[in-house]
Amino acid sequence: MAMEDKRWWLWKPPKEAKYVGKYVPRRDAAGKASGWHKYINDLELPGMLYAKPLRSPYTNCIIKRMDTSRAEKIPGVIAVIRWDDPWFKDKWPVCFWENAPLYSPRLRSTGALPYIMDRAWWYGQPVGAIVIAETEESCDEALKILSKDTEWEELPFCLDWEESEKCEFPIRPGFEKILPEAKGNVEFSPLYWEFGDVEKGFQEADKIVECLVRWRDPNTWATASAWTAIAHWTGNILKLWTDTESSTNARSQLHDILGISMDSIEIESPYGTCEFGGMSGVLRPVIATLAGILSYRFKRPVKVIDEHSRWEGCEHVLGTYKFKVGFKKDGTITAVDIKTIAVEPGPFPKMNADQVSKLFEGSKIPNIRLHARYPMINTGQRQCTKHGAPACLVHYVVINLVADALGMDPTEVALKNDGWEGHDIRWVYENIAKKHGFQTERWSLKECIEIGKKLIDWDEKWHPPGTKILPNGKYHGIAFGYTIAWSHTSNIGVRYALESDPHPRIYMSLCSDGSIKAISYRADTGVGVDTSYSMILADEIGVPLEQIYIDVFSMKEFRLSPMAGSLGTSINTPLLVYAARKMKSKILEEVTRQIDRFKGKSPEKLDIKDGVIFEKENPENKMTLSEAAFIMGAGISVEVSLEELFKAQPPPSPQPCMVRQVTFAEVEVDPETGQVDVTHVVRVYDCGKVINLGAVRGQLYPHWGIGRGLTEAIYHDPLTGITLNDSFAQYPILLMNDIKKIDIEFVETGLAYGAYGSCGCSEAGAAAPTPIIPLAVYNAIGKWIDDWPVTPDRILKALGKA
Amino acid sequence: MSSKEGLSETIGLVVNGRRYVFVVRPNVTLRDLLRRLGLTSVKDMCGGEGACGSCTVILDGRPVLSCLTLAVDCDGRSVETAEGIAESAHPIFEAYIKYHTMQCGYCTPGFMVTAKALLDRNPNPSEEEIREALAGNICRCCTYPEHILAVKEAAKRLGRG
Repeated sequence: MAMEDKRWWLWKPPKEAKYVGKYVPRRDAAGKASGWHKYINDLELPGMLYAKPLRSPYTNCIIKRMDTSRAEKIPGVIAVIRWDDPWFKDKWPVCFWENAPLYSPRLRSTGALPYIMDRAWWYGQPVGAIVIAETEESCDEALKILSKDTEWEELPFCLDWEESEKCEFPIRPGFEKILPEAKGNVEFSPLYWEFGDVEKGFQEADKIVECLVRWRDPNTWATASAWTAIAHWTGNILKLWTDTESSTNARSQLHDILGISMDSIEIESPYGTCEFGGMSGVLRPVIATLAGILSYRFKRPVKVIDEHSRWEGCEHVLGTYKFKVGFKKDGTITAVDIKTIAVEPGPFPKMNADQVSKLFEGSKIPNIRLHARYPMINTGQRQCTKHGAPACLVHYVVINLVADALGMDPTEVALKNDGWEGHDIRWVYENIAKKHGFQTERWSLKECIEIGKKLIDWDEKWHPPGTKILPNGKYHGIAFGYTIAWSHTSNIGVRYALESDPHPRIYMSLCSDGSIKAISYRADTGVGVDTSYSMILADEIGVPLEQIYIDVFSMKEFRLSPMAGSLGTSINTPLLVYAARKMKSKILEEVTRQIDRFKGKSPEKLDIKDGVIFEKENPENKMTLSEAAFIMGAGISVEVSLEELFKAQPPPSPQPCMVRQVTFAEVEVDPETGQVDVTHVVRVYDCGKVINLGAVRGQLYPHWGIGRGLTEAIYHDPLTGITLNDSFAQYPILLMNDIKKIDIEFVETGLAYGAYGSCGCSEAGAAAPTPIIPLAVYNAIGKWIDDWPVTPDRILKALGKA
Repeated sequence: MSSKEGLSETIGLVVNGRRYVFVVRPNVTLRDLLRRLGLTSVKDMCGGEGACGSCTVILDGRPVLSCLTLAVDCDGRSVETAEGIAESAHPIFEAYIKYHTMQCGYCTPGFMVTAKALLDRNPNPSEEEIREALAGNICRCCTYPEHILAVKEAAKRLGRG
């Protein structure tokens, strides 16, 4: 087998691959389209109880008194558990990053937010008590009464991060007990991060420009189903049904809180519902943990339903961004200074310089500085979901700011500044990529731009801002932006994987009917994990896709990388390919021992294709794998771990990001109404190597990202702070007709560090397109709009019409 | 032909070609009734506001939002859900499997039912007509363009008979 070169990023799919890179129907398609597949909220267990939290009716409040007696008398109510319940007092689950120190009681005292407290810091926050009942209706009835029977002390609140540090009242009273770093109304101490010498860079500049962006109204998650989890404690086993991507988070908390063995916690993860990224990985495990605790306490199956949380938070580090950019006359950027006032994820570790991460990893700009402040406000938790829109904002705006000031084509400015951590991209190729074995004839960004320009007819349509009015009377706008593809997370993926428990491992066996069964847990919120992984295994082993069965739904001792999407791709594809090649070798070794027609042959002289084992030099000497498996019995298996893979080939370091993605968009802006019609969006993405064409295409459809820049915003009543549009009827998600035309194209340079030189793409549709609409609107009307999203009222204001 | 028993009413309903008799309270929605039958293709995304299309079923040939339809108003009528469309191996089901019309898949049955209702009344819809028909369905994973491909494919297969 082609295992001689251990550098997995240089491995290639088999020459006659039938699946990898193709548009293969999803394995979950029939079950999902028909409704046969059951999501967590479809599941009911005999004797199951229901649990729901009380929610804060105020934006900042403390409970002064709570009388649970009336709520407890509602028929069907089993218990009302207060925040200070003696049994639960130290058992409320918390939110934390999966790679926080595991197994430690410190989990609940190091900046982690308990699910239920006697106070709430935002409208709708779970607070005060949980109701447990025989039916959902009893829960709802009891919660209505409990809210009335609770005496609340309503506190002043602040929703404006630019004002909050000046507030004389505590915005989150008691927060400092959870996060000692918090001082006054500041969540974290300010971050000052500098690469190079920014002042020197400004001195070298021919010109300096400034710009402001305020992500004034936050978008929210608006996930398809209510956050739900089920648990059943059977006396020695705790079974958990959860679709969070980080169920081991719940597992370690339950071990920590209840003192039960981690091995006695069995996790089942049916397909989840579009809860991607950190929101799923950090916040959702709380629900599963709570279900486990309640089932352990009440000795019955318990379903926890948290209906409102999907409306309460948003992407992290949204806030105010002040840009100052210095550059040469030819468009070479010499210095970038960014001051942000941004709201971080709530009580989690701040992400170091995340705001400028993509600019840093995707450009040769030699001097970059970030000065970030992290004030508290009274809105819900911040957590990455389809992570990265603010970092894409920075990258897009810096390039376009320079292009605009020079009257240059922004694609030219992009190419001029392409690179990695201060180095020109050619330097990266010569000094790092070649040493890692990559072919470096191709330039990812250039190829992406050339394809994108043709698709949108850029050379014909691009124009200076505010200079083109269409025959229908509307302004025409067009814009371009680029950033890195999501390969940069491979380093982080390695770290997460090695810090998780259990470490990524996969088990594979040949069944007596000739099918290959692979077992390794990896929750799937929609990216089509089992299909993509099966495609890799089928091609690598040489069997039809139907002969592969991969169980990613149950977690016992085998699991893949804990984190989602792009992180998973970086770690899991090498592990899968490695395991498949090892499995194939083992099958061929065994047939030379056990099958008469192959006895005495060297395994290297044999191959498997389409489920048939044959002698390469004498293809007529063949036997189906099914026949061979029937004779050999079901005893052939392999088990491989990430440690084994890394022992054979340590992950290279550094892993510079060399793959890019670009977005082009065209809009028409009505000068009378401010209405924006998105007429064409082009996405070109270099994922190194496409694994599952249909899945990556799905990940790149841009409606979520475009919506974040154009319409999506949660609005709060300025007088009460309550959320005004927390429902699908009011929250403006883009629909089928909101983007008239979409083109998605791929580039495959193989310049990434996953298997086959691949990388992830899972955030590309929701994060990277976001800044393109404000830029296109600027190109249309010739007026920069500071406040995002660029809603019609803001456009009319910019045009002097409101 | 409903009969009243206290606050509840007895209704007859054909669901995916099978006849049922139910005793329902007047506030029970068609969605809740169908889910009690185990027909979980009838989803609840928007909490019964009629905002997402994920609970769409075909009622006497027309697509309706089952969360806004009272079960008692369905007496003597015929309902088709995604399960029924799948069981009948309708070309729209095959097309929804062929294309990546889903990621998480929560909204997909609602889309497929809406698309099938479109094809029932217009076997050869234009792209504009497909977009218009599906414009009321929310897909948070944003697979919208794949639905257009699937409906066109199903129309082609229906046209071939």
